[in-house]
Amino acid sequence: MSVATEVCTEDRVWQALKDVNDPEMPISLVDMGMVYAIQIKNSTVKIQLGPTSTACPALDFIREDIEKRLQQENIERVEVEWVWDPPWTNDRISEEGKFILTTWGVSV
Amino acid sequence: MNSQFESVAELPKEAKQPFYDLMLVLADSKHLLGLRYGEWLGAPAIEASISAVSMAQDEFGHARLFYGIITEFVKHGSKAREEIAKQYRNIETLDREFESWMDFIAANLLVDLALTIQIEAFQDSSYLPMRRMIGKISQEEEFHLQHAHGWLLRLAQESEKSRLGLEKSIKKIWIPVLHWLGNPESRSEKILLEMGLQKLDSEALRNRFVEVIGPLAEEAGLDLPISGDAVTGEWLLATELSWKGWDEAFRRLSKTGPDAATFAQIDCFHTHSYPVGS
Repeated sequence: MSVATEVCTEDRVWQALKDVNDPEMPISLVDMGMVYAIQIKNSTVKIQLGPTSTACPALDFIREDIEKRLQQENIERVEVEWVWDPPWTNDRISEEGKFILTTWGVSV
Repeated sequence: MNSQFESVAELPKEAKQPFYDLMLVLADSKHLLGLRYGEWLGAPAIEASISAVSMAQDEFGHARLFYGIITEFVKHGSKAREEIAKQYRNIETLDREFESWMDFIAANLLVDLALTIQIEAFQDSSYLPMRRMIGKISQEEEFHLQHAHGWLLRLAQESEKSRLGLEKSIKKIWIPVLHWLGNPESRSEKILLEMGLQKLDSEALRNRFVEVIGPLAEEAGLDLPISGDAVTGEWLLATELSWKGWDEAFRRLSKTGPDAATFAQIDCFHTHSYPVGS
């Protein structure tokens, strides 16, 4: 449960992002290995995300889903930066993520 | 010059126009290649249709990245919105729809490869955002080359008629693709090299192109204007290029641009009214 007075920490943001799923896969952005870095500066949360492909059609959805989830944590100032280096590959998917994907019939 | 640049605002004044021209020619060529790939939902096999659509999507993704750099020119005040070119600057070979699947494969091999070779010349570029982009683009382009290679062999081995048809499709676009890789006498190229924005000159890009095409043509038994040196194993270009009338901003001889049918499809793109600042 979110508490308004709770201190905004990177750990808390990582935990919250575990609730945000990739729009095309049944696992979280964190398990997909798309979250490259989280920084909190002057009460702004900056999140670096590596899209799975240059033509990812869901960039805006992902950004909105992150903003909505962090609003539940009373975090209003969020900046999402798309980064390409290092390029995202399947190797970035967590073991848990790989397991879930295989149960959905997705080979990784 | 060892400077590095994190944004277009930091680029030296004399480098801005050449870099802008190069980004635009890449963005428009990637965009139109995506469109041409996407026109082939009726490829000669289901798998090939899926590949065509998938490659189209990749090309649009790459175009989005290069249009993003054009947008930076406007955001940073290096170009006024109304200064953005009103003319589409695609590689000449994509002006018209592919007439056959052989045309598709010829472009899949030559055009896509030329664009990738140009992009890979930004490895270690002094423009740091570009350095970060190219790994992902190269990763996605690996499949495009594999696709072209597979179909090159399939078509070349199917029958003599098929092989000759493929050769004809390749030769039709051979010169414009070689021209697109750049003119060594170009002032823009010299500036890009001096500023470290691009690391290889156009002759090196053409050599790289021939190094990739040579072994593939040999494997497929295609007769192209290149020759392999039996001693050194080097592939050499046997085509004389004339640069008369070549435009360095458009990287082509003719500036006519896409045909009317294509313009009708790309609509706001040909005046760059959509990508910039969107």
